This record gives sequence, structure tokens and C-alpha cells, in this order.
Amino acid sequence: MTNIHEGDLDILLVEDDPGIGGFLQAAMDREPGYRLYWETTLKDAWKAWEKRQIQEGRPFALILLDLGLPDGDGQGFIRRLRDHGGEQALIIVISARGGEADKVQALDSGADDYLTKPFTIGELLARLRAHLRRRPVGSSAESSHWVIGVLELDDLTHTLRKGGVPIPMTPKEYQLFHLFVMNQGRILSYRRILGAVWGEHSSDQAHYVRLYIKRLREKIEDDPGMPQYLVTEKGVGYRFGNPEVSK
Amino acid sequence: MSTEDRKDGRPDPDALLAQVQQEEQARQRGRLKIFLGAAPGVGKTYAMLRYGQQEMAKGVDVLVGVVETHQRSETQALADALPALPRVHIPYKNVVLEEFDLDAALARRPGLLLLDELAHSNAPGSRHKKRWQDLAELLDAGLSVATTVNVQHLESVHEVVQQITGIQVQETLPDQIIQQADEVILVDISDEDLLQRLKEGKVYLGDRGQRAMTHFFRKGNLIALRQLALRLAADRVDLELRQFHQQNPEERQRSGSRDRLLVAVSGRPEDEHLVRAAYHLATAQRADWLVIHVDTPRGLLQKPQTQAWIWNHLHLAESLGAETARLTGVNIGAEVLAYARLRDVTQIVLGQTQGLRKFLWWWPGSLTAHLLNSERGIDVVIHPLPVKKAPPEDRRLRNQQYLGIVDTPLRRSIRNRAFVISGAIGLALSGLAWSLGAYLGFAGVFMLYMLGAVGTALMYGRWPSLITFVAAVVSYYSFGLDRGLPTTVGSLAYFALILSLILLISQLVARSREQELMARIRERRARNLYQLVQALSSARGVEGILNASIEKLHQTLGIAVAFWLPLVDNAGGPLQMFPASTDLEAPQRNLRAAARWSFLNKKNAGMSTDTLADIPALFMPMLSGERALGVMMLSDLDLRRAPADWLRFLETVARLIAVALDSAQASLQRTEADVRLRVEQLQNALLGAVSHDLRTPLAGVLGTATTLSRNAQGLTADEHDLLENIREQTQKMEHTVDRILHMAALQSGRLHIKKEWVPLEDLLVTARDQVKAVCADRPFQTRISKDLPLLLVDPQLMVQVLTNLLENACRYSPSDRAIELEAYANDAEITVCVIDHGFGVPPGREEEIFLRFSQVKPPHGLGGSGLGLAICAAIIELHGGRIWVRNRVAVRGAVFCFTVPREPEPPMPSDGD
Repeated sequence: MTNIHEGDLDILLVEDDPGIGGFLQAAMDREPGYRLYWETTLKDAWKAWEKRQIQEGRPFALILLDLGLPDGDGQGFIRRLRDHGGEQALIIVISARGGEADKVQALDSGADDYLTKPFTIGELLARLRAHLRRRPVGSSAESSHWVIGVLELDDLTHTLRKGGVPIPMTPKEYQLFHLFVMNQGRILSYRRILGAVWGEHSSDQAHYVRLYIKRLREKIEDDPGMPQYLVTEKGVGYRFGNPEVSK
Repeated sequence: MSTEDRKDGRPDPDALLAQVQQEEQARQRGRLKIFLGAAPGVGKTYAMLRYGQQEMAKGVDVLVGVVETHQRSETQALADALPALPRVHIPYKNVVLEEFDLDAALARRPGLLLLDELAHSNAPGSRHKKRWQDLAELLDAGLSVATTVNVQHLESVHEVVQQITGIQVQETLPDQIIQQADEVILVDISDEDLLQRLKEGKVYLGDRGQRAMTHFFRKGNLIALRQLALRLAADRVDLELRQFHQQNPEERQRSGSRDRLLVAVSGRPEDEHLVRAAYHLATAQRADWLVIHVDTPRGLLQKPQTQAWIWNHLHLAESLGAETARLTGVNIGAEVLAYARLRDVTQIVLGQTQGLRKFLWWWPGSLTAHLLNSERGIDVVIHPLPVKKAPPEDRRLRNQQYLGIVDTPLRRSIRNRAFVISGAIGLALSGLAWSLGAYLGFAGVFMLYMLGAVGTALMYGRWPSLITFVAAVVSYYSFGLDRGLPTTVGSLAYFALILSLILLISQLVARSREQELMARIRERRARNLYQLVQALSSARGVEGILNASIEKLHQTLGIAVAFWLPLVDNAGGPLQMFPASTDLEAPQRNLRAAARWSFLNKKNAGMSTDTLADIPALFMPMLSGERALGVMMLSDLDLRRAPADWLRFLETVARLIAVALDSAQASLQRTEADVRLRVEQLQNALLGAVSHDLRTPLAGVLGTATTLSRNAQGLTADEHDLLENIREQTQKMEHTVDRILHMAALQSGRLHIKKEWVPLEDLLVTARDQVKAVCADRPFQTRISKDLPLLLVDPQLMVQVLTNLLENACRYSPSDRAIELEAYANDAEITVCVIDHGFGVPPGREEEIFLRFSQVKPPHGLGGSGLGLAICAAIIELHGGRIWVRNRVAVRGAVFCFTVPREPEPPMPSDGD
């Protein structure tokens, strides 16, 4: 293990496959600013979590979690973490399961993001940076002014500017865009978006979301066919990405 | 018995119900119009044809089914003016008979069918014996029919006609036909006119029996026949009037609850008169009438001839319009009474035999005595009956085998031997008495005789014991054994007393033996059923059930059974015989027809029924609830000559088999569903496992490679390239694994597509994101028509289609050339085309490339899995669209297009502006 620095980010990896665990351990050790703790079972992971959380008072900031573990399913683990002091922890699920339902389920259990195996280390690091960029959590909620790339949002006047030019928006469009800005880097499922913008009763009207995303992209993206901000998470929903961070 | 006015004036509920049923039936049934005449030559056919022409003038589709014009010019002219159905030709012996074509008529479905000579007997081999049965089927099928009837053919009067005219009427019609007719038209001319017409040769007298017919046309006969016809017509009008009153109670002047007559018939031939008498009584009183027979355990031992008579009586009654029933009970009198009370019978008709038996009516145990002694609320009518000699037994009859109860050659020889042995025993006893008489004394000798008589009664029954007794007594006297015995009146009386005692005891023993035999038969029947149930419940599958049934029925009843079943997946299709038989080839078509009729009409057909009686087998539908599951075919079984309870027994058997078949089929369906579910679970598990096990190591390889290349300080350029190669190959392999899994899911046919409303642009964004690696910075142009509606598709799958098409376009075209996408819609479908500037598709392979593992070698060695387009085709097919490729005209490149059906648009979100 390399030297421990004060500002280092502690990551808990829960993964039973030695191949993946091994390369992640090696990769993170080489990256400055990250420290990886690797557990292979949910039981050990929970022990490690409790130890850090209760005894040392320094909870893990990030948890990389595989879903199919020998002693159980990761989804229950997510819920347990969220219920036991892990509300603030960033949870990224890594799993070979590619199904839409699995992803949605993991997100509904409380995961923040999802990476499907196989992924490159670059993809993982980009995700981490995107999530950490909006940390510490809560700051964006208190703010009323955001600058994301060339976009500038003022919540007091409900105006959006792109490169200084005001973009006209309908109230619903604004509401949707605001929701994304508030959750930068997070995957928002169709259900979540529908619930937040159109109300719980319209949860089976996913095409509302699709239509509005299309309109927003036409307004804010340079190339609506290759969006930079409103990125599609295939089969799950959308994510507001910051093009500057991803690069 | 009189009908009593109902005080409240409300209609009789029974009558109302009957009326409703009649109306309901009439709504579906065709209308029947009868032209009734007293004799041939009165002009019935002429009148019917005139009626047909009138109807045709009104626009009704009139069709002549059969009309006998007998070359009478006026009639012929009328008939020629109407369309006629070609007759069917039936070869019979050396001639070909022309008959009415029932099937053609049913298929043609005219608005009105003209059917002459209703009493006609069809040629042997036709479906029904009689034309009136054809008529019934036509009416049931909803066809309206007009027909002609001569009064002498009616069942209820044909006996009278025979007495009046002295001519045997061969062909008879059930009276019900007249009652069911919607209209009866009496075609009447005076007897003078008819005789005149006869003289002018205007009356057809048939090919044979000219003289007999002339005899028939005597004035006296004609008057009598005309009277019968007029009375019948009058009765009919009367009936209509009563019906009118029932329907319009305010106009009813007089009504009453209906009388109900009951007749109990036995297997005596003379009871036929009783049935006819009851019919006349019932008609005169306008009463309903019931004819029943009570089967007693003793009845099981009856001769086949008796059974045939019972059958005959009940059949006759039915054709005269009676309701018939067959009951079972030990005490006939009690059973009849119970049934009479149950059905609110007001009058019981009993037959009183002439001859010796008439003095025995008071004998305790006789039906008459029982009814007279115990019933106060029901009138009893005693009708005198002539003694009718039963015709000699049919020779064929003797050869029938019935469970070994009724005569068989074997049993007869056993019985004859029993008589001989019994006689011999009687003689032997006398011999014994002669040699031992001195020691035994008078009483001892008679004890010896009694022993012998009781013994034979036990062994052989009533009659052999009597023979023993008679032989013993006769030989006793002829051997002179009585010598030396007192001959006083007292001792003779004593002697007679002893004889009576012996007789009584031996008869009692014989009776108890008989009862035991009957109990054994009943028990055997019950055991047969039980065994069948057991066999059915342990049989597996439809075939197992049928085989078990065939085996059991053969074992227990000795009859050959086969089954006709519809094919499993085609309930309306042709019936298949089971077991498939080879020795039935020629008549199989007939058998099939009979089976089909029985299956569709849910009635018995074939031998000993009225339908297709010529076919040497009985067909019984196997009913489970209201559904016929198949037909049971019993070869060479004439129920009229079988023991009384066979019909019911076989019907029970048919029902049992049907229930077993039903549950077997249901469980088969359950098993299939079960297997399907398991296969699905297994496949899903397998796909999941394969997906996980293939992807996880790939993830490790890819991760390791990328980690190494990120910290490339210590690596040479070559090593760096090698790592890059690993990364590329791994990603390609992952891609291939993805596609194989995807194809497997599509192939399994169990991919449940989840359609949602999506804008094409949304799908395109995702697809382009997926092909980033292959397409890199490729110029991309879209031409999506502004008003393109939303697509109702499975977004994941449709993204896959677009991804594959875009990837192919990138792979098979130079990297600097743009990829174009075009989308437009018409009313029916939405079309999306991906256009490239590549090399196009080799001509002639436009369809082949959509097959699995088919690919055109790409120029840069960037081969795919060969599954991409096959996956596209499968997905598009799932969506009900089309996919195709063509080469571009004038320039190089391929155009891949697909369509999806356009659906009515969903509700759009309302903006809060």
C-alpha cells in the first residue's frame, strides 16, 4: 500500500472475482488521491463499513459494489447501508448484468450509479470524478446559480443562458432541466423523472420524458444527435453530464 | 275425470312453460307446413307446388327437394317452374334408387324446401330410415319445409285404416309431426270427385298392386278416410284455438290444468294396444301422457324377445308423442305410483289381458291389485287387451350372446342336461325308495323325495326341481311302490299335503337361488363398472384410457369397442378411429359418417336406433357435461335384444370414459404449460449464467489491459501497442458475446417485447452512443420528417436495430464518407433507412445477408459476428414490420430500410404554459 495522505479518498470495493478485484486494486493504487479497500464478501464488507463508520468515525466516501456475491445479493446491502449511516456514501454498482431491470432495481435501492462489466479503468475514473465534482453533497441544493460548461442557470430568475444567450423555456422544460442540474452525474430513471416533474400518477407515461428530453436537447446541445449534457443511460434513464469533467 | 277450472283464472304454469319452450324452439327451427289429404289423388302435391310458386313470387328462395308428379301434366308444369335439387342415386341390389339428397339440401339452405310424400321409406343405406326423419333434421337445421301426408300413414290411425280397408299400411309416420307443424292445410275433395278422377286415370296408383289399390278406392273406404282426415284437421284447429287462448288469457272462456295419463308397459306383445289406446284417450282428453316401463331385478333374466317388445312399446309411444321413461325398482306397483305422484299424473291406464290371466288381476302382487288397493287420488282405467301371440323368435336372436344370462347354445345344452339329470335323479330316488322302502317307511320315502327336489332346485332351479319331483312321483306309482299303503281318503289327503309341501319348499329354494343369481349379476355389473373406473384412473394419457376401456369392455361384456375422436388440435375436424383398423376399409366411410352424426348431435346412432340403422354398430357419444369428447362404437350390438340395463350401463360407461378423457386432456395441457415454464426458467438461468461467466473474465482482461496502458511509463511502444491490441480484441469479443446472447434470447421466442412510445431521435442518440467506437468522428446526416409520429416499439430492441445498421454502415464504407439516416411515415407505417456510401451488397445476396452467420467480407478485415442483420430481422419481425436492403442507384452504397406499423398516437403531455 502506498503512503496515506490526509485528503485521500477511501473507497470500499466489494467484489468476489479475483481478476476484477486485482486489476482495480492495482489501478487505484497507481492513481493518486484514491485508496482502495477490497472485500470479497458482503459480510466482510459490512464489518469493514461498521468499523470505519462507528469506531473510527471516518466512513467510506465511495463504495464499488458487485451485485452477485457469494453470500447474497448486493441490493440488500445497498438498502442496509442507506439505513445505517451511509446516506451520504456514493455507491456505484459494478456488475456483469446488463439487463435494464437490474439497473433500475439497483438505482431504486439507492445506488448512485451503475457500470456494466466490462469497463475500462478510464470509464471508472471519469465517473468518479463526475460524482466527486458535485461533492460535498448539499452544496448544489443550497445554491441558486450554476455554471455547467457553456450553460448558466439562474434559479432566482428561472433563466438559462447558453454562451450568454438566454434560451426560452416552458415551465415544464425548466422544471426538468432544473431537476437534472440538481442531480448532476446521477442517473435519473424514467420513473423518478416522471414522479418529480409530472407527478406520481403519470409513472407509465415514459414518452413524456422522452419527448421533453428531445426538446431540451434541441435547445441546449450543439448537436442534438450527439448530446453532451443530457446523456442517455440505455434502458434506464438519463444523466446530466458535465462535458468538461468527462474529458 | 274432468278438467277443473282454475279458480284464480291464472294460466297454468306448466302450460306456460311448455309454450315458452315451444316458442324458443320454433325461433331456431324451420317452419313446417303440411298438406294433409285423405287419400292419394286429392291434389296435395299440386297444392304444395302452387304454394311454392306463390312463395317464390314473394321472393322466397324455393327449392324442390323431392316431388312425385307421376307424369300428371298440370303438376309437372308446376314443378318444372321451380328450381329442383338433383336426386342422389343409391345402388340397391340390382337397381339404382333415386332419393332425396339430404346433405345437398342442408348445404344449399333454401328459404323453403318442398318435400313430397313424407311417409316415404328411404332406400337402405340412407342416413335415416324414413323421410320424416330427414325432415326432422332439416327443421332442426332451421330450414322451412312444406310437405304432403296421406292420413292413412299416421301412426295413430294406421291400425284403424287397416281394419277399415283391410290393407296393410307399410309406411307410418309419428303423429307428433302433425302436432309440430306450424300449419296444416287439409286438401279435401269429395269422394265422388275423387272416384271420378280415378276413372279418368288422373290418380297414380303405384307400379305394383293395381288391384289392391283399386280395392282401396272403394267408396266406403274413401268416406272413412276422409272422416279421419277431417277429424285430424279439426283436432288440429282445436289445438290452435286452445293455444291461442293460452296466449291470450283475457279471451279464454274455459281452461283447466292439464290432465296427465300414465301407462306402464311390460314386455308383453299385447301392450302395444295399450299404448295406442292410451294415445286415443290422451288425445280425446287433450292430456299429456307418459309411458313407462319398470325394470325389476327379475327383468335381467328376461328373454331378448321381451326386451325387444319393451323397446318397441316405448318407441311407439314416443312416436305418438308420449314422454317415455324407464325406471328401476323391485316393486313395480310402488315404483309406478311413486312416479305418478311425482309427475302429478291424474289417471293411470292399465291393460286387462283377456284369457286366463284376466282372472288373476286381484292376485296380491299384481300391478292392478296394488294400484287399486293403495291409490285414492289417481283414477285407474282398465283397458281390455286382446291376447297377442308373440311372433316366433328370430333365428338370429338365438345366436346372440348376452352376458351368459340369456340363451346361448352353451347354456341351452347345460339346461337340457339339467332336465335330463333332474329326471334321472327322480327315477333314482324311486329306485332307492323301492330298495329301502321297507326300512324308511312312508314318511322316510317322502323325506327322500323332498331331499331330491330341494337338491335339484338348489343345483338347477325351479323347473328341473319340478321335473325331479314329477319323475319321482310318477315312478313311485308306476313301480308300484304305493302298494301296501293305506288308500283311505284321509291318507290320500295326507299324501297330497306332503306333495304340496315338497313342491312349495323346492320352489322357495329355487326362488332364493334365482334371487341370488340376480344379485350376482347386479354385483358383476357393479364390479365391471368398478374395474373400469379403476382401469381408467390408472391409465395414462388418452391412448391409455382408450386401450383400458377397450380391454375392459371386451373382458366384461364380450363386445368389440372402438372409439372415434377428434384430433387434439382440431376439435371441429374429422374424427379419427381408435384403434386404427385395417379390416374395416370399405364400410369405414359409413362408420365415419355415423360417428360424426352421433358426435355432432350428441345422440346414439347406428344399429338399433333410428339413425343410420343399417350400419352394423352402435354409436354412443361420450359426453362430459354438455361437451362430446368422442364417440364410442360398439360393433354388432343390437340393444333391442340386449339385457334391459345395457343401454344405461353403456351410457354410464361412455360418460366415465368421457370424464377420464377430459381430465387426461386437461392434465396434458397442464403438463405442457409446466414444461414450457421450466424450459423458460432453465433458458433464462442459462442465459444469465453464460452472460455472467463470459463477461466477468472479459472484464478482468479489459480492466487489466487498460490499467497497464494508463501507466505506460515503463512500457515500450511495441508493448503499448500489444496492450492496445488486447483491449481491442477483448472489446470485440464482448461485442460478439453480447450478440450471441441477444440472438439466443430472440431465438428462444420468449423475448417479451415491452413496447413504449419513443421519438426516433431518442433511439438514435442511444444508438450513436453505442457505435461511437466503430464510427468515431464519421459525418452523420439525418433527414427525419418534421411530423414523424412517435414509434410504438421496444426501445431497447429498436436501439439494437439502429446500432447494428449504423455499425454496418460504418464498417462497410470508407471512414470519410457520411452516414445518412432518413425517416418518414405514411398512414400505415413508419420507414427508417440507413444509407451509406460504401460498396453496397453483392447483387443477389440481398435476402441472404439477413440470415444468421452470413456476412459480406468487409474491406478492412473488421469482420462482425455475422449476427447483426439476423438480429435486426428478428426484432423487426417481432414488431410486425419489414426489413430490406437495396443498392443505391447511380452512386455506390447500400440502403438498409425497415418499417414498423404506425399506431394511433398516445396522449401528449400538456405543458403548463
